[in-house]
Amino acid sequence: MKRLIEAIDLVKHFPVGDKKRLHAVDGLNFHIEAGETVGLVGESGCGKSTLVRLLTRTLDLTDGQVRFHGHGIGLIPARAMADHPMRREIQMVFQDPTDSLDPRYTARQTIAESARLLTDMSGSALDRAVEETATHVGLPFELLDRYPHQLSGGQKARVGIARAIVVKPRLLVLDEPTAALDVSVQAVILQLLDRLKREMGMSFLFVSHDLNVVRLLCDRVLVMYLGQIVESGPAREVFARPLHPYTRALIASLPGGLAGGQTTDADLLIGGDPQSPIDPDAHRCRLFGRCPRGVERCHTLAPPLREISRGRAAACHFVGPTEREAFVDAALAMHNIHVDPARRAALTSEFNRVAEMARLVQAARLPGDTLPAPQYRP
Amino acid sequence: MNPNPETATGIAAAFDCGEVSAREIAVAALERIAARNPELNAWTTITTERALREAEALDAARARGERSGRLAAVPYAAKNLFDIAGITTLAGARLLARNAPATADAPLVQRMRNAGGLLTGALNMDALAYGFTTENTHYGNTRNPHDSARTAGGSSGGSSAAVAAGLVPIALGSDTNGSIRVPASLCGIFGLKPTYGRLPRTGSFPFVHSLDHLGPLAASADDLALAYDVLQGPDRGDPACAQRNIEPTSESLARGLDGLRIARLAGYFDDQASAVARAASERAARALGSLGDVVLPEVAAARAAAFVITASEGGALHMAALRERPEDFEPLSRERLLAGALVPAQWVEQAQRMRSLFRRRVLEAFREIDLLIAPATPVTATLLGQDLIVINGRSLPTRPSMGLLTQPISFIGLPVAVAPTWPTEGHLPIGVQLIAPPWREDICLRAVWALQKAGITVRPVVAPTPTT
Repeated sequence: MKRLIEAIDLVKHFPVGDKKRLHAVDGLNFHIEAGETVGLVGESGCGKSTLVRLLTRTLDLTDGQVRFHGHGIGLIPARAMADHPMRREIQMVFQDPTDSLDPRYTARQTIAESARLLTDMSGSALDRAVEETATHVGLPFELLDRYPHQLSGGQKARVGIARAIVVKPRLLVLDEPTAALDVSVQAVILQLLDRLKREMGMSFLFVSHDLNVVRLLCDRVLVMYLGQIVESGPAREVFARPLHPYTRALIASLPGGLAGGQTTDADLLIGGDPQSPIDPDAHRCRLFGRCPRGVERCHTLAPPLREISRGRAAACHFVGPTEREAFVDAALAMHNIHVDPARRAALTSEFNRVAEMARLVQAARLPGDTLPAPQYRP
Repeated sequence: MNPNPETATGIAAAFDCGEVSAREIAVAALERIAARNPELNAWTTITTERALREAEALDAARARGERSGRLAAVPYAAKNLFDIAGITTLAGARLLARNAPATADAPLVQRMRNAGGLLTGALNMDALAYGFTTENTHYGNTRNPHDSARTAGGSSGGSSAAVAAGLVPIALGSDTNGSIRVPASLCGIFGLKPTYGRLPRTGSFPFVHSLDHLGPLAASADDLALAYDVLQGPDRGDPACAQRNIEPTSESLARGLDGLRIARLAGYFDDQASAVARAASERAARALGSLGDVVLPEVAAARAAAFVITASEGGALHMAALRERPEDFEPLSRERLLAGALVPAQWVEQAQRMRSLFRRRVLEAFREIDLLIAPATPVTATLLGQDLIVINGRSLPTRPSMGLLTQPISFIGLPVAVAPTWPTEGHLPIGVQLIAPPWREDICLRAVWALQKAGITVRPVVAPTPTT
């Protein structure tokens, strides 16, 4: 698949006086493929919102690159973005539909205004596009001439989505798309988004602290902690077998917890405050102090995000396939066998059992073993 | 005349002297099965028409004055990994359910038929014979006739339940690591795993070629020997079959223990057994006049080697299907098979080396001894769905651990018979293994017969509580 958008060593620091800098986004590398739905999760303050503004190019980068379809867009100044042809390609759906809709515009005007600004549509073509989009998001035509205060929360959310997709962007970024909605409305909007995702073929980036949203809608997930990505991988696999201690803690805290009774005491983060994002020690793991596994090495050598298995990466010294798991992965790949991620832990445990039996056999000593053993001289 | 004699020898004798027709026996057996099978789930297919057809042919032959076979009019059934003409050989696996029906009977089924047996159907098992509990996700669990909340053992659990419930006196089973002996033990019946290579496996679905055995399960020592005698004989279809001529055992049963040197296996076989299982082997040892205890070296490693070979060979056999149709596998053993398919060759080679060394050491022990006694299972029947068993304070996973005591013996191909015993406590039986040198099934069967004669294998009558 083709990379639609790619972040390379992306950095955003904010000066906070006294020559100190807040490291909101601190060296991110990731990409989103064409047609892919990616979830970005992490607690508030982890840098999610800053990252979104960097990708939508409404905030200037401190360092690094953003590439869209292979073209660098990182140097476009944020203030020039409003008139840039790129703006149409990446659209946002904002968290709070009430805040983000102009109270003086009807739903029709809001949707049409977006299309007028970013496309060359006008007249009857524009009217048709607005109505088609309204149909697409399930907004009845009789509501199109109402003002925001005459619409319910769910209806306003539909207007916000329609405004973004009327210009047919290639990437839709959704910032906590359901957080401001009633629980009953959330489910309906999630169903709508799931349908749009299947029908429209564009790429989606869901930013959410709600892991269930990500689990339901996303192909792949990025987990952020204090300005860095600590884990990434296919959503099903990450939820079935999270690798990073922070991800494990996030998932263990959900109702139902970790699959297959994997939860141990080590999956609960130690209380206490996260490290400060202001000039953090570059040689220290960001989770150090909260992580139950922290050792000396975590204090002196920050673990890089590295590939653990195909398509999965994590930034932790303790994560990594054991030699046996790596062997099993390689053997599965060689035999071209795919294993349901939910059954992977069971396979590991069965393989460990056979390995334990093989170890017993190797350790056995039967006097009278007269089968010749090779002799080697140094 | 009672059309429900309990043993094969009794049925054959009753038919032979004209007391009862084969059809009457078949109808009675089919009625019993229809009544009990919904609860037990021992049969996966009931071959009513075939049993009646075979019975009518026997009645017709008798009317013509022809001599009847040794199993004349004896109802039996076969584990569903045996080919039975006209039905699909399932081997307990949904994976095989769409296969065409078998076009001919397996040779062992043919031999039962030639001896006058009436085939009543095919019996449930663990999928692909990988298991010791006959808990089958796709075809249902088989229940223990002594306690329907418990397993019948496995993988020949349909066979043991069918015999233990008194529905047929003989059933055919298979044993790779204990799949005849474990269910016989847990259901309180007799079973024989002959020497590796004795009975041809032609026309049966394989699990681990280098460890697979076929054999009978039966309601009495005499029936066990009779069935075994009928099943013997060479067959070119199985390359591992030793092609030996029939060596009859039934006639020698009454020789009893005459001159046999007998010992009890201690060490590993005590350590891996619960108190009930140890007591059973001690009681059998006393009854048979054991000379003492024998400790074999490295039994745990031998069992481990059997485990490695089983996993590897069993997994490799199904590699293509594991890749293409994983959803059709039994969830209880799919990952175990897949893990086995990935085992490195060096582990398997080491296990094979272990096999020849262990065989040599055990054969040395047989220079001084003719028969070894050990419990057949570490514990009595577990509850369906029970994941752990406790042996001497250690918690072990149920499904692989039920074979701890049988696996080291079949690993080196020794002939073993199981005789049931009934502990003084509780309501559940447990079997003992009677192990002989290669090709000496006759010794195993004589010992089983001696235990039966001594009354060890009979469920004790519970004395009514005296009223005061």
